[in-house]
Amino acid sequence: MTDWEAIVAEHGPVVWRTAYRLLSNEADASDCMQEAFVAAVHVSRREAVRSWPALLKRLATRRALDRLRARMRRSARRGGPVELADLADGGGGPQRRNELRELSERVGRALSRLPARQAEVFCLRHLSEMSHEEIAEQLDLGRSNVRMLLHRARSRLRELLADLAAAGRGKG
Amino acid sequence: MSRENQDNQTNIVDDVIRTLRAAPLPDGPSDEALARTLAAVRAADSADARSTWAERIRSMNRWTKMGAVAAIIAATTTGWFLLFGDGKGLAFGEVKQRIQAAETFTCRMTISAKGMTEPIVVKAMFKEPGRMRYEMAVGSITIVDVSKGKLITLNPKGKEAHVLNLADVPAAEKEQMNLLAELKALLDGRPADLGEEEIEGVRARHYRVTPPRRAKGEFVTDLWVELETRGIVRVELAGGTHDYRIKITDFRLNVQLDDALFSVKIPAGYSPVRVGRPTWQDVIGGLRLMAAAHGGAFPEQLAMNIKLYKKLQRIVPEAELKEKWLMLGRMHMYIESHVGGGLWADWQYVGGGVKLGDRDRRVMHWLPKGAAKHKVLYGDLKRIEDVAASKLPARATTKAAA
Repeated sequence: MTDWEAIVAEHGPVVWRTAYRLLSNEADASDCMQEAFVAAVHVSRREAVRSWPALLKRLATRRALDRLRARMRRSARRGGPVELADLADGGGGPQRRNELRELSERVGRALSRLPARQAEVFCLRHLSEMSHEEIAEQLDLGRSNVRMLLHRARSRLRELLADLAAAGRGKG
Repeated sequence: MSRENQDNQTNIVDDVIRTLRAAPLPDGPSDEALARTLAAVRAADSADARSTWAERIRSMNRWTKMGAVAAIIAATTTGWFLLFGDGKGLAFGEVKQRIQAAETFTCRMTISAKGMTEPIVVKAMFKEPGRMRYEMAVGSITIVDVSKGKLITLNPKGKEAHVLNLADVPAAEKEQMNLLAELKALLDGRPADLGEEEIEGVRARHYRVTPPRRAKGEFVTDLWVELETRGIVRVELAGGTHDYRIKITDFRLNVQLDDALFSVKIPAGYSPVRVGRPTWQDVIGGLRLMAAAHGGAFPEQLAMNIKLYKKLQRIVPEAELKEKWLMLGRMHMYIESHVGGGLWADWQYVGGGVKLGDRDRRVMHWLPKGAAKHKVLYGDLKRIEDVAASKLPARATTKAAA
């Protein structure tokens, strides 16, 4: 019998931070955390979970990216930029917060334009700092595929962020 | 791009990563959020295990929709005398996430139907974004590129390239886009765990998804998942507009597939043939031609097969034969896309033996989306009546191909 109380207590903060890094919004991060744990329940029914943190990071990342894409779609429908209120609420002083908000928006927009798998691999590698091996195992991919997806994601992000950099907003 | 620019842009990505990693994070999650999460987890944990399966199989993905179009077109435009189903209902269930996320995958499809002398075997390849290639054992190749809105079927023997704009099959195209509706429809099915079985030489769990209402065009989906690897072993679909049986095996994910395999450009040496937009007039014209080819009475089945082709050769001038054959293809496309696209439910062809011109006997009927009564088309191909389901005749025939 899985001790869900212990698992939520132990891994909840990591899962929440994983989602927050992408969403920059506490409420959204909390929702993502909940969804990731519920998804983990279903996963655990059909397979033995070898690494709870890896599984939960993967589930949280996927859901956070889904939300990010939905947010960008809503923003596109509104015809305006992503509302800053939707984004960062972190600390560090007003100017720093603004910079991070801008960066979050830029990166979020870029990530939402990547193919889902590429975005997922990129986030797991660079934001959740998972190894290639962990990612390969979690996503049931070969390591070479992970490297290929990562390479493609970085290349695409370079293109997307280069455009922004050219407009003088390249660095966060 | 200069080396310097490339380096700068590499730095942009790395700068972003560093900055995001180093960004201060607020304290969290709150106790309230953790408590809410725990409550949700406990609720999910105690839910019926079968709901888990339902959730997993809601993966009906866009490939299957696009495959539907390809299957229809490949069957009806190539002159290979083949006709097979729309692929609706391909549930990739257990391996949903892997398949959905895979950049490429390949499988083997074996399609049979009542009256079909031997099964059709297709090697199918898929590559993101939205590209498919179907290599039929008899030699024709159908390639679909959804982002380009193009489908091309190559006939290497005749050096012909049949070209179709996907926008010309609006119902099918709409179906491709309406993934949410498809997910809901599939969830309305009744997934059943039929236990463990030995299949394809391995131990596998057998699941079956039955549509809530066995309307025409719906498939019952059987799916076997290997116990040890959790890989999909086999998918079988039964049903569709012509009672097809489609077996899918040999799944391989993330194989190397060259982009050139998915080119929808007409190859050098091939003559383009525009398929055209399927219309209701094609249905009427096609039925009329079918009857004419069978001595003035509608056939038992609407198959496009070698027998029909030979009959047409006797009654259609050679110069018109290709266009007439294409019209029959468009007739099937129209019907398949309306059934597959959910615009027609309960479509049935019941015209076997009815004489062309007989305004009292029924040829086919269908239930338009949102309508209370079926539409019935009679043998004169002009009279269409609204008829209550209780007054419809018993199903006469649904044979597909001989």
